[in-house]
Amino acid sequence: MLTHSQAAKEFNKDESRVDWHDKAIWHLRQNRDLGVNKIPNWQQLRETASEIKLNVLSHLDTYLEEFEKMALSNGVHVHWALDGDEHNKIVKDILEKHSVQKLVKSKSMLTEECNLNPYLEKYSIEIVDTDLGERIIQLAKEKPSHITAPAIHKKKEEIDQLFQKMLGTPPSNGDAQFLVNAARTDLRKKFLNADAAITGVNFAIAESGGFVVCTNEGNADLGVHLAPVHIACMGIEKIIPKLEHLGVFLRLLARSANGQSITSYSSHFFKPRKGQEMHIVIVDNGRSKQLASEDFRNSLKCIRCGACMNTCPIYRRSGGHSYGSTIPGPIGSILSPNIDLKKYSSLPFASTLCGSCTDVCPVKIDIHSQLYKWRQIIMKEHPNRVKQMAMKTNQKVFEHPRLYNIVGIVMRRAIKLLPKSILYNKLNIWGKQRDLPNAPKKSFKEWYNERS
Amino acid sequence: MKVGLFIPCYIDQFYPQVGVATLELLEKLGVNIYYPKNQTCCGQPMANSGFECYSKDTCKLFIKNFREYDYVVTPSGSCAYHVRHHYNIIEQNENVTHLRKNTFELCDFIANVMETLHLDASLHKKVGLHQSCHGLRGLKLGQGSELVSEPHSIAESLLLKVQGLELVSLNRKDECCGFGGTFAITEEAISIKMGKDRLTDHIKNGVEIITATDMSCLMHLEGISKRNNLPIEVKHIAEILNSQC
Amino acid sequence: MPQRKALKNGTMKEVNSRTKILYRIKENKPNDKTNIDLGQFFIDDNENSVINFCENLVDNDGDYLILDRADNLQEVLLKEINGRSFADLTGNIVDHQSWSFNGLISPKKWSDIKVSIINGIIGVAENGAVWLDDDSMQNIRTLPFIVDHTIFILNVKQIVPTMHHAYEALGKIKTGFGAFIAGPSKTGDIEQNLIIGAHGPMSHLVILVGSSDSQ
Repeated sequence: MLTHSQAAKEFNKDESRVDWHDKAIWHLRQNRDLGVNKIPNWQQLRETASEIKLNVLSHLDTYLEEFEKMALSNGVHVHWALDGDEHNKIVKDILEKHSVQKLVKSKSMLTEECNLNPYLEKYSIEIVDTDLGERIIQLAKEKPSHITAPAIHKKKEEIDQLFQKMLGTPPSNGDAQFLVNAARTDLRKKFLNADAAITGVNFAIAESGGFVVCTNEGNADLGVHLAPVHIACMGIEKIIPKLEHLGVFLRLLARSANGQSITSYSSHFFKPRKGQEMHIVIVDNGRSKQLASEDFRNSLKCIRCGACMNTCPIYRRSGGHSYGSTIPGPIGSILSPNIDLKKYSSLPFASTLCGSCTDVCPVKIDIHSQLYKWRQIIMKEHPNRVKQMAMKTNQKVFEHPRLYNIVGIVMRRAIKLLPKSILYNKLNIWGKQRDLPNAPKKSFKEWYNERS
Repeated sequence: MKVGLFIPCYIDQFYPQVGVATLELLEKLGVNIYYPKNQTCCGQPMANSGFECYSKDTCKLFIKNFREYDYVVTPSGSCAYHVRHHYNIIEQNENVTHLRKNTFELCDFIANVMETLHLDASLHKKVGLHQSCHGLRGLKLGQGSELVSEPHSIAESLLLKVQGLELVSLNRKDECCGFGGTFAITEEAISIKMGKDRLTDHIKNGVEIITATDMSCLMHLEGISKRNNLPIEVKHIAEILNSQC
Repeated sequence: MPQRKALKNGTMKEVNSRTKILYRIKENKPNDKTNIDLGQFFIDDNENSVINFCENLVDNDGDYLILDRADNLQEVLLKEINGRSFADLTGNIVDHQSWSFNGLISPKKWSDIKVSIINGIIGVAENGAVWLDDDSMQNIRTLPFIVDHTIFILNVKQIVPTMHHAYEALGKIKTGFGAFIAGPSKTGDIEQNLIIGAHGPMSHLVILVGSSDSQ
């Protein structure tokens, strides 16, 4: 797997595409700003959401047990999965029991995390992602690059060509209306013929055993209300205590994502419809481990809005795929190292620690602080030897003022006297696309000493 | 009031004029300012790279140099931020606690600690303010565009006191420049792209001089600007607040 | 933590995932004291609720009609239906044949219905959303998602300022399914172009009644 830096370098070879990608996602940030500024007590809303989520983490077991009890009393089946593999097996077993051959799935980052699709395909179950962005990347055999706009990295002409190839549509020159109509026709057939529907869960309510799924397309509902089996997959951290808390989260979610006051559909599922079987799969997959960490447990407050990636200047200029993780961007960079520290060790360094992510987060996760803390852990467990040597050297120099002064003089002389061909050699990464600063004759210290 | 002046390592070595401007400005404003000669660095380069463990002695040297001062002032938002937020890694004694509360970035000190302010500066130029991230969001020197509350910016309000200075509005008020410490090296491609985009924003809006509270941002932007022969200069805010022309 | 529990008859039983997960959570959870204050959000904004509702509905790509006492609801509905096949769950259309949901018809046939008319229960001013549930949908949950055009009837007295007020009004939700619907089906997934009518309804209308009563 490429490090983030290597992948980002590749991505940046096409500067005009980077500009296009950056602008498209900045647009979401701008719309978010317009939306949130309509709520004068936005900061209090964030603070309240953060408190609710902290309360959840402090009583997570109790809330999960309450949730299960209520769901069971509503006639819903509840399953528990320790990890992604167990989640996939549970889902597969339910589907096999109902002889499901065709399945529709609305957006669920959890099922991406568990790699559900390739697993089910091994059992000859046709699984169709019905969120348009997810459908596009499914047809393209790619992974999502953003958690709410999975195909944001694709231009409309590319989608047009994809649809021509995979759906047999005539060329439309990237006509968005035409392409959506084509998807509508194609997916309507899938909805009508599905044997089961899988959804994610935006919020699960402990006091009522129900859960909420938010979409703009209505694809979760079209799948669920037509199919005889509904399987809802949720991470343990999706719980909130009471229905009234939904008032807080539903006001925050869409506004943070793209400035909308609410998604077109916020569907509340409590009981299966008559004749339907409803299942909830509650998944741990490393979350209870994250819960133990005082430094990192706040990342479990995440409501998957995507605001942090929209604001992140690095995400916008490197694309979601450069992270190599299910969830990219700032939140992905603090969640992923918990799953595999070595594999995702470059992610917390894919940041200038500018703090914008922390300030847009609707649940006040201290993302940039957690990035800093992960760096310390990663350099302890998997140190980059070159960096380590450089920093050890820095330590020696900065600890000893006289040595520091000498090194300073030598460095400035070198910059002044060395020919450009040596100064700007291949090892000088700073100098690849930037000039080094000028080397003044005297340091401030030397000037000050003369002055006194 | 005894105030210690902390000059970040890269300003000491590469931009001494910023240190000079800072010292002269504070002296002009009547501050009892001292420069401990054994200072080196605040420890940020090691800490941000994930090697906090190698910065402890550097932190201790900072404390040793500045412990007898009522305040420490530095022309660097990121250094002040680092002392305030990340000096929790050394033993918290009285000196450490005192300095963590009383280390100030220059504009922050002028606006919030000094009681009277008479700025006698003039600069007839179109100036763009680059809002360095650690100062803006870390030290709350201004209101980040992400937040919903009363807009304010200490740096802006000081710049508006400079005679003849025209403060230019940008398309993206407070996007990061891409320096980020060792990020500038380890993620070079994105670092450059971010810097170029900032420069384009300033140039498109007619800025002649980019200023900031952090010289590290400006060093990065200046490096790109010079390599590409762009029609724009950089000056640290201390130099502008200290300028007469 | 024992992986296996010895049972009375001497056989071993695996501790299941549920137990493991709950145990891990119990061991790892923090002990934070939190302060949740929802009261601060109940600022009484009722004054402009109807106007706000309409503006925000339009922002969400829906549409509205405000009827006064003189308007004939059935006439207005028939005009909107415009000859297409429709399902009226409100009983407001008496002179024309609504789609008949006799249980023998397969849900797949419901794709032929083009317009649905359903009573809304609560309207939310801050986002133009309408709450409906199993009762108002007469348990035909698919209906408001599968048609081309949704019409909701809502009395202006049912409009509340914010989502907080809405959940307060809903209280302990007893229905098996409910939804806040704020606009038509839409997507921005084709290069950020907003297209109305993704998989579901291509248009969404809220007819507000009872406004002359409140004057």
